[in-house]
Amino acid sequence: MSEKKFVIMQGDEACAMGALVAGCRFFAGYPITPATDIAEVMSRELPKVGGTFIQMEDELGSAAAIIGASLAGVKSMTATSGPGFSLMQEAFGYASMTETPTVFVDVQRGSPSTGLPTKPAQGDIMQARWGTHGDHAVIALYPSSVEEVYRYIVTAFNFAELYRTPVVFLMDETLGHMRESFYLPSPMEFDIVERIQTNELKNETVYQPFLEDSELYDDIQPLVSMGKSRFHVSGLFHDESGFPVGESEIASQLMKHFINKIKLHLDDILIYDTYMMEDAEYVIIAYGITARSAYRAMKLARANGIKVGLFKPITIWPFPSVPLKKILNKVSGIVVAEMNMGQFSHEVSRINKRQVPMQTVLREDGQLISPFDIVNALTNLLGESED
Amino acid sequence: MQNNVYTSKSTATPFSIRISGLGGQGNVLMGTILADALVKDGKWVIQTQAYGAQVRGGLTLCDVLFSEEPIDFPKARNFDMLFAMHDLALKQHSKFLKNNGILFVDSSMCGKVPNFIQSVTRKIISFPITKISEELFGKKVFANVINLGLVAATTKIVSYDNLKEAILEHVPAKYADMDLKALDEGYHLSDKVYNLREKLKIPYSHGSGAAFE
Repeated sequence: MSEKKFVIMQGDEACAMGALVAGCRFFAGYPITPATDIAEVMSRELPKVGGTFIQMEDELGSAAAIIGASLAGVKSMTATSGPGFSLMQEAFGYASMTETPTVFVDVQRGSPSTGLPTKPAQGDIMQARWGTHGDHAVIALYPSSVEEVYRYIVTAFNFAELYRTPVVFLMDETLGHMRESFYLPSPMEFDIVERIQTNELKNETVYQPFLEDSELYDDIQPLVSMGKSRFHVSGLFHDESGFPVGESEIASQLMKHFINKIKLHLDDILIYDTYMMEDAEYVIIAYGITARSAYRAMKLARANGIKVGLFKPITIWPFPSVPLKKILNKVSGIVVAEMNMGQFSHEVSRINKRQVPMQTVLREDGQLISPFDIVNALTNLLGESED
Repeated sequence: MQNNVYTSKSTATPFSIRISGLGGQGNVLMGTILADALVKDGKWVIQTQAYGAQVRGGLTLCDVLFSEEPIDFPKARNFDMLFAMHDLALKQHSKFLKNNGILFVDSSMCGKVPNFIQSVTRKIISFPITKISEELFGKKVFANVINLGLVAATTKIVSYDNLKEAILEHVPAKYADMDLKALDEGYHLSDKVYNLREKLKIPYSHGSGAAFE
């Protein structure tokens, strides 16, 4: 086993450092607690590796800037919190429509509106999926520890490049501000997806950025930097060359492409961890910082002879229906814990066709869900099944 | 496969330290340095903080949790060690001290230790830290580093050398000598040594450390 460095890092810092490993060389942002530290580290570290940091006039500008930078051939990201993420939604839709690889980090805080700036919440789950108008492709990742932040921000950049889509990287205030020790993965451990360079195209080739070859509409044309090739980009429905077309046939084809490029690659995109599910009679479903409470609750319950397992999605959008359905078919009770009023548990109940008894642990007051709250819900569930 | 949060099978609670005082006293920096030094010792550490919007003033706190194993839940409800750097902090947070926990009081900034503490713990370490800092360096700001020396000496949770290293990583070079002097001063303030947790042996009891797996 190679000797790894044992380090202590803040969540926001890990996000920025991981992004640099992933090849991010452009950051545009506007400071907001609790995501400011990401911008701070980026402003310090990006110039050292030849990257660019811009503090924009606001979040609208930040989101637009990273789309521009990405089209110009540079991996780029922005970081904000709920209030800023709301402002970014218009540009987020534009990135979806123009299939521009971008990473939007949202370090969530108590919400709605300016809410509780220094307190955690998980209220942006649905916003990450449906924040911008219209049907669109989206991938959202949600790590639960500082180490996972460092690892999965790299995955976020890879997904953005592979599937040509904006990726939402959700974090909790607690995770962003917390300093935690972990074994630092070496940069050699990661596979990094690089942008295609123009010299790989033959001189006479006309580059069509939105071309699909396959009947299945799941082939994704690699993006070539603008300036090295000429193409048109538009937020209107467009043909394979990028020019606006109003025909419904082309609109329907493009929409199918948006949906299918995610749907047909779910095996790669869905990342999740399960713990002690082999003999579990009950399952706790939790993500982000709440998954850590759930993990402790699981250990406490197991120590008392309750056979319970944990399902922890890292990819929360697209929703992990298939793996979750398999688990729901095995268990006789579900506990969903989240720091909002039931955004994810609603999705769980949507696929709970067998009507397995379900308890929710919900909290939206800026405090973490304690392991005991989850154990309580479990014991309620036990009582229910005995009736 | 290296250890991480989700490889720990233990339900033991991590050791917990709360450092609290007014903003500007260096509570968060003290916790940061302590956390770094503990990591250098090979401990698993989580450090969190809470403060208001102001640069100085207002009650701030910095929590450090450490353990031999990865820590799952990042917050503690009660604390094995409590640093009261100001009277407000003493009044507000002393109720969170664990039974037989260690209470550190900066007596030059705090009033009388509340009476109920006597029934919680006898391990109270009280020195006029800020006053000592002022006398030695003409400034109050070295109080937190003196405190760090005091922790290393009285609890042995963290090694003196790693503490020194961590300090040098965090303070500006022009203050390094003074900081090391302050650390040394704190290290030699008290010759008492307290155990962080003592196991009470109760006959016929299995204790609360429920076996897992």
